[in-house]
Amino acid sequence: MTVDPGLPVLGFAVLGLAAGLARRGNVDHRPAVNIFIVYTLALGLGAGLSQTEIWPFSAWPLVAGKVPVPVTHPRFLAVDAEGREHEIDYRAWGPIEFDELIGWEEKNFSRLDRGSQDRVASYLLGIIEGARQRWAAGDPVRHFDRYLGPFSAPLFLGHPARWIAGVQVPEVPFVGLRLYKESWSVEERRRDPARVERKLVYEYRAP
Amino acid sequence: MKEIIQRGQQLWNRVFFAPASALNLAAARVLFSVHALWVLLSRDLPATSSLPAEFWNNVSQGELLRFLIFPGHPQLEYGLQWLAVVTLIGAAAGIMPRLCCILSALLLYHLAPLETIFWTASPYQRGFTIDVLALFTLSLSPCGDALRVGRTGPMEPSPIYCWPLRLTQVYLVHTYFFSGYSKLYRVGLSWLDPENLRSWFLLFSQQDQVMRLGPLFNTVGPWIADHWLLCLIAGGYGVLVNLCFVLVLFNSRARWFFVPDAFFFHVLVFLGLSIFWLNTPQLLVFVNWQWLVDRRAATLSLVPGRADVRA
Repeated sequence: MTVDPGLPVLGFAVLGLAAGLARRGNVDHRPAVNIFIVYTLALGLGAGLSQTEIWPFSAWPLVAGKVPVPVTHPRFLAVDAEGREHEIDYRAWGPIEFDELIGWEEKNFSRLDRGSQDRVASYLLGIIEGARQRWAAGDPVRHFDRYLGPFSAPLFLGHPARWIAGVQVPEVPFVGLRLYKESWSVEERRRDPARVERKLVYEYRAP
Repeated sequence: MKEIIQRGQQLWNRVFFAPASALNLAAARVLFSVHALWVLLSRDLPATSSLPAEFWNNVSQGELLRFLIFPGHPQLEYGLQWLAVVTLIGAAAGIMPRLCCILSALLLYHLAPLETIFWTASPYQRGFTIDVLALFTLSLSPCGDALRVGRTGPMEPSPIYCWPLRLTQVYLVHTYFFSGYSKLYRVGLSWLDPENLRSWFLLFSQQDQVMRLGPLFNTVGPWIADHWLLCLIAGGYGVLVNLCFVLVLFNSRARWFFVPDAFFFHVLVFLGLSIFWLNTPQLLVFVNWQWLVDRRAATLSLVPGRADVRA
């Protein structure tokens, strides 16, 4: 039997409210507070020690693995009418965050049938082509720094800014999308940066 | 046996129910609400709601229900996002702080998973995890007794200000302790192998899609990777201090070492792996603001001319 992670979190909320509501003036209801603290500690330790996600109680598995040999990563490239490939700036995927898109792709994209894959690709192509036009015109839609500008919270992982609005943006419209899987050994690539195997796994062309 | 239980109770009371200042608890309220506001205004969480159906194919009904997410309603999500902005500002400014804290926590519990739910229901590295827990916990406490519009904080320390602050610190300690623990649990001692650390530093310097550009980046990582001893230290020392970070809950002197050390660690990770640890500003929850204020007041009282005013 599996317990929905929402239930332990609900318990956390209920016990917390009980402890908070039991307080009288400046005096805590110590038993209620103790129960809440013990439960909270147990839940946090339970999630962490068993490495089970009960968000917002997390297992925090950061870089907790070994680098596989070879390592494989996906790469989306945009294609113009002449078949030339173009790198896509990570901001052009907005409002989707690049890392979340890659996470979704690796987990789900290959499970979709061809028709669904094409609908997704058409949607993504629409996003990046729309972004390309705005960026080329010098008027990009800023999904992640529109309110706080340079003081916006950075994304967890860094990404290169490949486009410069109105200056360095692919000039020709995107009409297709290609998905590659790139594989390499980190040691071999350290010796020779060109040692990367690239395999086309999916291609979409707008009708 | 009786003595052990007695000592356990003493430790429990010392950690969770020692007299503490209202200022430190209120500072935590300001810290977590401003932090959540910072991250919230740096993302576009509601837009995810408009993703096409294919993105939602593998999201279970249980996950959607848990966070009350109903895809296809971006305008509703934008409305909730702006409500969260208002409640977070209220929490930070001390306007109905407890109500604003609990509303913020509930709204963020709903909004935060929007960032990742189409592939994972656990958005644990995206910045809101500690904020949700901390804001909820603060809402249960008199977190508005200081740093509140139109009210002067009480001067007397009290145990009621201790446990909520300590729990917010526990949440942050989890990130370090389990980060170290998870490496040993999932991989074992071989994670500490300098070759493993070398591979990680090389990988992050070779993924051209996952790196920041600039003179500061992509030099530290490969440089460490090329030095066996540095890789050994990075692995061994990193895991050790992660596990020992828990000491900051019990010992104020430990904070003087582990908190700046954690900050230094995040700077190195930022330069070496291009990873920005969004929880870094939350390390300020370990600062004893009351001590700083008292020290400042004591210094001012020694300045000629100032003492007269205070007298």
